[in-house]
Amino acid sequence: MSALAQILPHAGKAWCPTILVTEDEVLVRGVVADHLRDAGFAVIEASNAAEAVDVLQSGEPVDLVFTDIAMPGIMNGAMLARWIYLNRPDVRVVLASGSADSAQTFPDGRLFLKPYDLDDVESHIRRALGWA
Amino acid sequence: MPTKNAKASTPGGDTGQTVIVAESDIFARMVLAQFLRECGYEVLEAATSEDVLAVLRSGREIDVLLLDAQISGGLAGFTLTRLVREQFPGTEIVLTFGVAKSAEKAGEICDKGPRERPYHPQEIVTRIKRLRQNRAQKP
Repeated sequence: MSALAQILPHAGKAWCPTILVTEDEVLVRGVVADHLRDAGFAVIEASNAAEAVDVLQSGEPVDLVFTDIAMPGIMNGAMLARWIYLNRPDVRVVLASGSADSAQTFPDGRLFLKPYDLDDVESHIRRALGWA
Repeated sequence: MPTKNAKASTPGGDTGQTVIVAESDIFARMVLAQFLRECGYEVLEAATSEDVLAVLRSGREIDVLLLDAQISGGLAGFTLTRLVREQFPGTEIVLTFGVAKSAEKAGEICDKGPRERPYHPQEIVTRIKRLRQNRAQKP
């Protein structure tokens, strides 16, 4: 491996970021995942927060989690974001919600209100990962 | 619903065929779906029987439904199979029981497509087991 590749882990090879899309509505999940795959990302799909945690703990590489806030189960997306912050701070989180109230709770992070534009989501993810 | 942008992928992937992987276990679903995508299929992932019906009822043309009989949701696997057969006769149903069978059937589906399989279907089982083991070791 060249000296440069050792310093910059993604230099010299085609790094493909992996996005974990977490969304309980199957049609929404499919459209978002499709769009991100077309954009060149590797995408893993989870239907709820518990599945997302399973994936994150399985050793499967994940660079960013795009998650809806309202999901059935013990954990919602906000709790998932907190879990990631505590247990996997290397993984970035982008949130989505159908409710504007959630925007008040996350003043620092970017929250996408449904219906969101997928190009906007893609651009934001690219910037968050520093991936052109 | 988010708005879909103009540059959509070719429906049906390389093979022109769309498969639903219907499996409630996240690791099995993930590995089976990735395998079939690499075989050139467009793959939609369903976690429950409700997901399967939602996809079929959306009007999307589905060529193959790879369905684990133990799928969770309001409808059991066999009941769902009957309903799909009645209402969506154009969709081939491949019913499986357990990951070994799902892997075998995924291999057969892949063999019908133009792209070579990325690895031996038996590897699907190995990968799923490894993910489950890793997960089981975490608090």
